[in-house]
Amino acid sequence: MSQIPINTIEITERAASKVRKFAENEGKKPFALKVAVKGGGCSGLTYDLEIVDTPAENEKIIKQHGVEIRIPKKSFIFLAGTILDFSDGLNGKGFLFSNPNAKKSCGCGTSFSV
Amino acid sequence: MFSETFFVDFNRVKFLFQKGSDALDLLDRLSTNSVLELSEKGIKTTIVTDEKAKIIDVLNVWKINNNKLLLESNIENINKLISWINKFTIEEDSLIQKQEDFFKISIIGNDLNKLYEFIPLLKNTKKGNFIEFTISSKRFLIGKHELFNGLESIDFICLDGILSRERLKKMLFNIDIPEKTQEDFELFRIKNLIPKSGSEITDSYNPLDLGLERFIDFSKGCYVGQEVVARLDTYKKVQNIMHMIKVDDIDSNMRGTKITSSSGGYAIAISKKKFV
Repeated sequence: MSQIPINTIEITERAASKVRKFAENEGKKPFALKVAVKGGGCSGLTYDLEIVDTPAENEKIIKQHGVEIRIPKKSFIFLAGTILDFSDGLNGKGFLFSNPNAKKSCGCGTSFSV
Repeated sequence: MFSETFFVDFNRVKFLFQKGSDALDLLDRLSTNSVLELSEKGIKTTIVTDEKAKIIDVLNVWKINNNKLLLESNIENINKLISWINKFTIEEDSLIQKQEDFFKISIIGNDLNKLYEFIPLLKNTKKGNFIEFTISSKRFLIGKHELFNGLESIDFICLDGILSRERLKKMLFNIDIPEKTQEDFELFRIKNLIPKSGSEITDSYNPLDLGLERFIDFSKGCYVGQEVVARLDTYKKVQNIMHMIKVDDIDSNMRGTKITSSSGGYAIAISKKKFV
């Protein structure tokens, strides 16, 4: 996976397409993808994805591949430089985070530590 | 087994409120038991562990409502627990507040008829639930729960300071439930293998070392320490065992054994399994 500038996060075309499909299924239009970090989980921090329709305060906004990504600023500290991808291969299905800040990730792939 | 019924003043128990819409969810992601499933007016014991599954604290969670939990910690671990929860509070709507003037008294034993006559509502309260009750204008939470070894107890949280604790004690004396002194309860605790904060419940051990499996939900999702706990259990890699021994039997050459508590000629020891 290539590196991206540290002041942003990136979503791949494959992941963006999946997000658009989820938003359509949920009937949300316009929509945005909220990418956040929650405390807890095996490694101490857990990724949290949500399709949202209302903006909140203190969010960093990035637009890519037709998807608006909103990242709460406290979460952005842990996510800067992350690439969000989607995999539906034999070895696992779901969103994948390639996070340069993560020193350790757990087996389930949704939890990490910095 | 024992046949007596008595009460204990747990004067080392300390309380804190965890408030906010994410309080329960956050605690679920930081501890071994499924507190998310806790119903309103429910009590559950859960264990907060670090990344290596060492114990931060074993605590009783009293769910007041969806946005308010009363956490029952103790004088030894409360500050560590607060720091730990705060460390993992990022975006969550969760606020910790120490509650200095709450007190805990527990009744242990089966002779509860007079208590039920005094508080009829308690008779039909199921284990793991609590009620709110007022005695002489002082407020209490009264729950049916268990000690850390699974022994059933009736727990009173005195919400109105020392005066409420004294009123409760007076009421219990009036219905012929005697108080066990701290010294006598220590012996009872040791004989019944009830781990205590500061003695056995420390960051030297994981929950499985202390036989606290009943407070671990092995099928719940991730929490800090979960991978280690699961591995220890699955591959039978638990290193230690907690057991009771007579002080006279303690041998200075006992390898891999640490005496963690002793009273009245009995002791709790935690030993490396391979030496037992």
